[in-house]
Amino acid sequence: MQVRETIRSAWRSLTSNGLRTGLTALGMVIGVAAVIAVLGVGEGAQRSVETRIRSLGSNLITIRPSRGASRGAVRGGSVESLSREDALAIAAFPGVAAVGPQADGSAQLRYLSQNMNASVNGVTADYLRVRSLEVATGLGLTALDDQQRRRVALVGASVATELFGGESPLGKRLQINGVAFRVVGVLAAKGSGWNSPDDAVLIPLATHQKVLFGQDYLSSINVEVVDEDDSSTVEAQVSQLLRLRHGLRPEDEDDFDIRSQTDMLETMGEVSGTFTSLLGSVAAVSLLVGGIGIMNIMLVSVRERTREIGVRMAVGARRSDVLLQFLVEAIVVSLGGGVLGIALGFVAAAAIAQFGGWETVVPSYAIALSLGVSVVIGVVFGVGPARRAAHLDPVEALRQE
Amino acid sequence: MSMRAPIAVESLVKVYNPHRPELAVRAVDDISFVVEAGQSVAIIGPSGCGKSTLLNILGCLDRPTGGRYWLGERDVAQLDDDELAAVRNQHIGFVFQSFNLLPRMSALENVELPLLYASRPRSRDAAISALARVGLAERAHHLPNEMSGGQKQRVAIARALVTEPSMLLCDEPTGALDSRTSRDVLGLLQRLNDEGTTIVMVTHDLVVARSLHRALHMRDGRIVDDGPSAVVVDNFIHLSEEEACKSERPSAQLGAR
Repeated sequence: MQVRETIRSAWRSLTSNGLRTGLTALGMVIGVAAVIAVLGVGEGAQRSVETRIRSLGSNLITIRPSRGASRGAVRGGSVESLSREDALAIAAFPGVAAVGPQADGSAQLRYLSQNMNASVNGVTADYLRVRSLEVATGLGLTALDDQQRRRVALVGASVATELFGGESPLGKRLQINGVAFRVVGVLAAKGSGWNSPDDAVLIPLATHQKVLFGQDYLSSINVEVVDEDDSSTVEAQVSQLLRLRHGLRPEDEDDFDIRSQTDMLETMGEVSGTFTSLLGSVAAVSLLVGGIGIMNIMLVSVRERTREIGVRMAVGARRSDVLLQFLVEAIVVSLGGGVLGIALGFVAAAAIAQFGGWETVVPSYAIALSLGVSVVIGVVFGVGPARRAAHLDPVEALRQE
Repeated sequence: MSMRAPIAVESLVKVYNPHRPELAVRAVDDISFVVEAGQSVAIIGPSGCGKSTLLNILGCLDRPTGGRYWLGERDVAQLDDDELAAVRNQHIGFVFQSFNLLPRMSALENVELPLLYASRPRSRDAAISALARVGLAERAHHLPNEMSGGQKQRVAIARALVTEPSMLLCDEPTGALDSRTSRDVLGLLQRLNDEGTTIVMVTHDLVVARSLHRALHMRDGRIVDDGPSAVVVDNFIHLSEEEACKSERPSAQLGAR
């Protein structure tokens, strides 16, 4: 029997019981739509994480202190392993383009009667370059600011609008924990999110350490490497140098943690990938349920059409023809459901982007995957009922009411 | 294969439940006969005598437990499932008591059905001309439930004819029809037989049986009488009456008129 005729015949028998076919296919529609939407959200999350991390600066390596176990004991208290001298030493490496040591803190900001809390970070002149930050209006921080512990501040875009309202903050007197600072510049907006510079105030590192917080250690050292391909070499060199400088013995663990941007991308990619596959597998369960629905209906259909099968056999249908007929019916239901599900999945992804504010990108492989999975489900769950139909005894089948 | 293929069965046996002696039923018990090409043969006998089983074996729907069945030059016992399907498709046409048309297909599509399974593709024209042969060309696009019983049976006959088989196997073809439409259908079968199609028909209707060339009288899986239909039918009636008298309770002797 020709494939075209088989499909036509399958279509006819499916449409003759349209409601039942529709409800059966609905299982597949929902399953596939869920998978498509989840993959869309996952891929969207992945991409937005990627852009965010890339926006932190290119070729970036970040060194943070860590609580390495030392001589069998875990060091308590705050971690104070990184110093300005470490940063200076790192800057001497040939593969390093720039070094931006950073001391973080949180402080009360006051301008006239306006109050707010914000992170106040002490940085050096190179920091803006290393973190790919730009000054929207005014000036950046200079080496001289740092050397002379000047009380000058660069404010993030959100801080500027929140604290100064419509006024230009340039030249204004900003109090940070009661100490007066002069605002010299406003950072360009970078977009909100975790650790966004928009919500921070940058002051010279020395001012931060000596004047405001009285601490000598750093929160992190940002290193811009010349060539991204060299970053692992630089990482190794930095690690060696810091171990040496910190006087660590071979058996001691590192008291710092080096992460390149590639590491972060990988980590975040892994995290969002894990989430996507977790949600995807939940969605895939509904595909399984859809498949079982198809199998159920196909079994009912074989039973109902036993006599038809007998007639077809009597006029010359081979067992393989009957098998193919029922298999094609199952595939048509699952594939049809899959196609509708893809459409619905796109709609759902668009709706999530529209109303949920999440970036959703349905990857193109998801379409091929859904179609493939639909066919596979049709075959897997259709073959049992189809074999049952094909192995009917024609005499018995014709006797059926 | 030509239109003319004689049937020959030799010591044909069909046992149900052959592996459990206490349940074994010899539905067809050592039957031998030959049907010449172009003959029309009625198989008569009481219910459960094995007529339908015999017809199913002749139609390659069922396999005999023993004996030989020659359809033309073919030894049917040697054929596998797919070859049997091809034989059913090409050489045998079935006509059933309950028509067995597929309800959601038009008359024409029902008639086309065997063509879909034919090894060599044939055009729709064959189906149209088969419908014309049974006088239903103008009803080609009607669904079965839009037709009378007689028309349905004629569509079924057209379906049986469409691959130009050498024989028609009819299982009570007039059993669901009133006497007038029975005559029409019978006339149609007669005409096909005159044109050379071999017909083997299981029937309870002795008038129908009498109108064919030859009759086989079956009882308990055996052929007890075989000859010109008029003679076999008369003997059958005679025998049935005798039995009715003997048993004092004249049970409903099926087919006795």
